[in-house]
Amino acid sequence: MQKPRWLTLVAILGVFALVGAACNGDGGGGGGGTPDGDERIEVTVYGQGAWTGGANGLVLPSMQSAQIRFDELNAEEGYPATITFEQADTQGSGDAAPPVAQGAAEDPNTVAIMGPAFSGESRATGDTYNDAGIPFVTASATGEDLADFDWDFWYRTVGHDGLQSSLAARWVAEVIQPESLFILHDTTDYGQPLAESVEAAATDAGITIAGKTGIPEPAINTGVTVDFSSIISDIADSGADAVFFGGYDVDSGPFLDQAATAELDVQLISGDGSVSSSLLELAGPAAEGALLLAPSNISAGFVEKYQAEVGGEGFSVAIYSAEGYDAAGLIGEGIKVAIDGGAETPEDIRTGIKEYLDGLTEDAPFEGEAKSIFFDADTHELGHEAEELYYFYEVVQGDEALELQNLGNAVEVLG
Amino acid sequence: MGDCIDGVTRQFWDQTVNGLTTGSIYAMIALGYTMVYGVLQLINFAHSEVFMVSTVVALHALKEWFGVTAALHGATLIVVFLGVLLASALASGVTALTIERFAYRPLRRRGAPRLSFLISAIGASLAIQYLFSLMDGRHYLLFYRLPNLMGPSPRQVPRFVESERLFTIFGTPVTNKHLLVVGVSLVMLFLLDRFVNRTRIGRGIRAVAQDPEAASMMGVNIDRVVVTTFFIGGVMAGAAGLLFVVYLNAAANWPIGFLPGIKAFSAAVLGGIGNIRGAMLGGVLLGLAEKHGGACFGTQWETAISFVVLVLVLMFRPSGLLGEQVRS
Amino acid sequence: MAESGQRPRRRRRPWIRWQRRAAEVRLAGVNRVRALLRRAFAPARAAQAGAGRWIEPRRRWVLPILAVVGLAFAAVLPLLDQWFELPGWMLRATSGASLAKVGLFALFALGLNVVVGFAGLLDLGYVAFWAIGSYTAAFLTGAATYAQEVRRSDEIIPEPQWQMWMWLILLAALVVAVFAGALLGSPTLRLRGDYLAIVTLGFGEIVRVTANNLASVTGGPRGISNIPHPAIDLGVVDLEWKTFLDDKYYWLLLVLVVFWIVAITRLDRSRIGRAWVAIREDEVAAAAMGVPVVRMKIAAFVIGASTAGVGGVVYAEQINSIAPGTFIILQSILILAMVVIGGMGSIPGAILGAALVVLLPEIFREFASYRFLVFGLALVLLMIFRPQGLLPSKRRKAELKGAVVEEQLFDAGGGEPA
Repeated sequence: MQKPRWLTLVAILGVFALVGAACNGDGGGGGGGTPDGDERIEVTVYGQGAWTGGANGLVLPSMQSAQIRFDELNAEEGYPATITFEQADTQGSGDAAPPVAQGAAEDPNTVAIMGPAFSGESRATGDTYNDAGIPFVTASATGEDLADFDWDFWYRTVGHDGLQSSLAARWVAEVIQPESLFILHDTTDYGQPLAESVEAAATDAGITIAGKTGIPEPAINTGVTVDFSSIISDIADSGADAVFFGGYDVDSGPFLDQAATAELDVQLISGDGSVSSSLLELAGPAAEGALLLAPSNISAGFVEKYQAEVGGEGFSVAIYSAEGYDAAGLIGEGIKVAIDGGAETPEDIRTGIKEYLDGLTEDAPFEGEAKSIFFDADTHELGHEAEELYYFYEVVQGDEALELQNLGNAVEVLG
Repeated sequence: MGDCIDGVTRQFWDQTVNGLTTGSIYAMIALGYTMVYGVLQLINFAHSEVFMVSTVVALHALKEWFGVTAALHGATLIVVFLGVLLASALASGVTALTIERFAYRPLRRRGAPRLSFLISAIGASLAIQYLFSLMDGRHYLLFYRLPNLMGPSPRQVPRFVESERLFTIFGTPVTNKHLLVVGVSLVMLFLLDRFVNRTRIGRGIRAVAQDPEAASMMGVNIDRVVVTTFFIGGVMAGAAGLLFVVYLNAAANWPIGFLPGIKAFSAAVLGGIGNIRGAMLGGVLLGLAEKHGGACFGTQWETAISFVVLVLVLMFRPSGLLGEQVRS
Repeated sequence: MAESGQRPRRRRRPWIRWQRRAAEVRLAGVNRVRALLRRAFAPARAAQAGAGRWIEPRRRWVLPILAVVGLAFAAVLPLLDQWFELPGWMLRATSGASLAKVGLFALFALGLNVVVGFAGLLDLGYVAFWAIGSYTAAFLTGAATYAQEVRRSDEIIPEPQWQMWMWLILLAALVVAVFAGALLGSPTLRLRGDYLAIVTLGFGEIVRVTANNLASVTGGPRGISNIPHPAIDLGVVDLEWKTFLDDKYYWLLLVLVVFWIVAITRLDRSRIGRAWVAIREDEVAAAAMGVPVVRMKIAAFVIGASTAGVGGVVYAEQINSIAPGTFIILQSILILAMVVIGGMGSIPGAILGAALVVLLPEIFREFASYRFLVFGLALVLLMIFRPQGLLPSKRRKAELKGAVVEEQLFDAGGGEPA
């Protein structure tokens, strides 16, 4: 009945040993600065997003590319700062994000945030960064309403879902031309609004909406592959020959797979949340023929550089990699301009970065790999957000595996 | 309302097949909850992790041991399937035993209050989940490098069973996967029923469920009964995990157990917790309610529907459909 | 305990009447409950040992002083970083936002403690009442309507300006949560322990799924943003809460927590509190003795719900935007863990539990990926070595000592049949 005291002691020591071992294990990762003798200012940039978890295929390429850029800057002769790029891992969940963001905001060395990578976590953490006066630059959160929050310190270097959904609807109406369209969404704050605005735009374009439903518990939230059987029955019953899916790769992949298993013959169309290597892995051969669009040019020149630098750790579908590289470049340039302008403390550098970002104009933009960047003075959206920044893709059978074929940008495809 | 009736009638056979298949999986997981509850009156919250371990082991076995990359056919398929079934069921059984040994038995010896068991179970559940999320071959535990089994992101299990349409019921196609899931679960449920009702140790389980003190006085070795119960529950959840993976071409993932676990627990309560046949009935009914309810109100309401059904049933039958006792 | 010692004996009479009525119904159980009540209250402590006698006069002033000092210490915690150079982990633990989170969860833990610790009802859907409080705030501040209007029109609409109404909203949320608690409680509280657990869990899920799917009312998965921060302007006191990092949120929560501690302590020592003890220990015997079991259970449930409702309002106004993704089962489980870690039925325990569960992950942020593994193991170890929790309530401990023989799950006994 009575346990000896020493056993308690051993147990407690065990827990501490675990923590000690944990310390050991974590020490390996991270880091990337090259501290050298000349008077460089130590600054930290946090990358907030799904470093791990189901949706990291959508986020890691941009974070890895940002790391590449920061490493380049740190190695650059005469660059005035040493940038440490830290992980703020939210696993893509808006719910897990606030404490993570608080940590980043409270770090006295933080000068800027790259991210938040998704819209949900942006809504949950934007106030934190804005209140702390830290510039946060997202290269992948496409929620249409983010600009409505009027965060002074928020900047977006990609197009938003408003244009994405109208382009998707035009694509469906003008090019794909199905008999009727089924709207499927993942009941998240990204997928549902996207799917609903496609629904509205498609209705306006005169397409029959055969039906609409949501996934009860999407894998992006639960980590459990969804049982799509009832949804597939619903779609089969509706007679639709195309489905627009608003949601993430971890759900669209299994949907394609299970639909193929059930011999449901529909054309899948989906947005940037589905454009990732995970889609190809999770859907398997069923991915072939899926049509996708995203405000990112995946087959541009930068992707080769990305693949070469990251090697085996890289993703075959490097969505937002060029955008991540550019966002990091933007932040890096801001740091340089701020320090050259006399900023020494992290607070001054934050202000300096903001001033630099606000100072970009159409005539004097930041020249990035993907595009030139300057911001709208009111919304802090991309100043020249345009249809040619959206690209359409089809999943095709490549020489060795499935791959994305770039069908061209919106102007080329839709005319 | 018209939409609802319309949807349900038009998709009736489709959703019945879907519901029966999903329900069979729920039923198998529910057995673990119900049997443990029967003998110990405790909600084994860590049972969902027993299910999770099975999907990870299935992934590992298929990839590393059998080297499967594409769909298999004929005798190879049967051998590999049985091999993986054995491996994942055993792994799950052992996980269940581990949980019993480290999270429950010390508490039982101390006569801890019942809520302590629940918290201990939640702790074990969290610990196992996050342990697997660290198993990416890069993390250490006590200076021991954890094997590369799972890691933080989902991993696709090789699709080794190809779906084939076998026949149709009123126009609804039935595939080999439907039959496999329902068939395997029926066989295992039948074997379990025989085991509990016909063997000596099965009699021990029933005796302990009815009156542990009396059973102990009559010479039933309670520890052995408890261990057997956990092991059988684990084996059932393990088989369910493999069936889940095969049926949905699911990816193995460390948080995969939670949702099926909650659903299966509801199924166990629906049928009458502690009652083995109740768990089977509850699982199938819950699956059917979910799918038909989805056809009626829209699939995004599935989770809510299953819980509304549960609450309604408990309102009118406070100890579940078939009552509580582990009976023959 | 000094207070209960002063209570006139006369007050225990109703129990005696109930005893008589119960005599032929269930003698054993009744005796146990009666023994329990005797042990738990009255001069039981003084009778235990001579030691109690010389502690008592001291305690009379030690306790209030300790409380005041503790409260003062708690109140200045967020200011420490201005006065001292703190190491990183302490900085994180004493930031206004972390402390406010402790305060919020302490409030939740106090409320759930009434349900689980006092009345012995296992509630796994506590988060539902938090959600109800938060959504009430979102509706009453006008943020919900505002969100719908913004979505519909392109024009710029002024943001809701309901800061001053926070106090009324707190009351309203309390009432709404009470109503929701009674609504859920009255049919379900007849269910026995574990059935209640699954029904409450289901209720939590139903609330979350409904909030997620009824987009036209609740804003759907995106939730509701632009919930205004609160403010008071009473001439003398003019306070405005500006951002969620504002230390004043912590102080606001501190005030609420203190208020709740006082209220709950008084309840616990009243007849209702004694009824809860009786129900928790032996429901049948309590019913036989005339304790209105269902009504008392509903009372506990409703008090727990109202606490969560009030916390939910503060949460919504602090964070500004709420979404259904926050109100998941895991939150209920975490709050339950706080209650059990601290010690069921123990008020200081609930607060300690909340502080540990919230702050330890903050402090050990460096071990991010190992946190939950260690947390899980720690829960198991704690239950093995200290199932009564870290700061068990004295009364509860006394009960456990007396009741353990009957209550324990049968002893595993090392395999030998007794």
